[in-house]
Amino acid sequence: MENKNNLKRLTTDGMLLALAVILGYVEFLIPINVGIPGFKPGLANIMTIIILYLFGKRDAFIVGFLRVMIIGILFSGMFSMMYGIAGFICSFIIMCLLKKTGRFGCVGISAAGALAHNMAQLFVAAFVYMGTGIIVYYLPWLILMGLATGILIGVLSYYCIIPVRKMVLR
Amino acid sequence: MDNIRLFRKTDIIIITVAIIIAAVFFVLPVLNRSDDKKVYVTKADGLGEYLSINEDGVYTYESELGTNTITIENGTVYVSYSDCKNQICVNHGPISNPGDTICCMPHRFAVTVIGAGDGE
Repeated sequence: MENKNNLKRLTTDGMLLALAVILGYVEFLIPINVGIPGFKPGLANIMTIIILYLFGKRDAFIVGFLRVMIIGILFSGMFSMMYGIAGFICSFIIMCLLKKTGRFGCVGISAAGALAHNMAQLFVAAFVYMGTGIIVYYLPWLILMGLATGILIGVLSYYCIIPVRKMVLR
Repeated sequence: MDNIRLFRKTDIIIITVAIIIAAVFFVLPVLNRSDDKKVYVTKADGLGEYLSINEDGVYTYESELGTNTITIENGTVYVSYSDCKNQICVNHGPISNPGDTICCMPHRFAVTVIGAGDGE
């Protein structure tokens, strides 16, 4: 019985990782220009949230990290991968902590994750490449964008978790 | 497994805090704006010079092409004298917003207002 569950978990992780990579590719193909360089809705984060809820943080971290690496190597290039890793790790830590408290819903966790992701990328950009002056100008926009996309992704994740969970528990 | 919820009241805290931080950072640059403006003077030899737009004064620049005098007054700057033929720079009038430029083509001379964090 234990083996069968592990198998199911592994298969689901693999499928969701593949989906996450495809969603990353879609974002790469159709850039949404809102005047902020590097802006993305973060659709692939749906998969991280689903796995975080269904299988816990270990699986979610592995799948999320692999997703960032694969998207970085295949599509967006090494520099974007650095940003992606920084953003992913920060948002993952925040999401895990908030989920652990058990007091936040999908929307809150996803929004906080998106905000952490944007902040991490901004700080990497500021301290590694462009100087700290950009922080003041970009921060408010990145917060509003992170909030909007985070809430959207939270809602989408919630409605994805239910069918995926049914599929896994069957 | 059953504690998955779309939205909880505590989520509002996250959203509110984020909006407040965003609002603070929207307001900050606006408050600082008038203090940090500068005047950038491009001279005929291609070199530049920064002046504060908040300190009134009269500055004269001479080169082999001619003489220009700029006046900084009440947070604006204008070319008060030029010995060029067309006098476009003198007739341009005062400028004060970041990005505004007065240019004296015959003397290869220009005055630009720059905002906080630009240039330098």
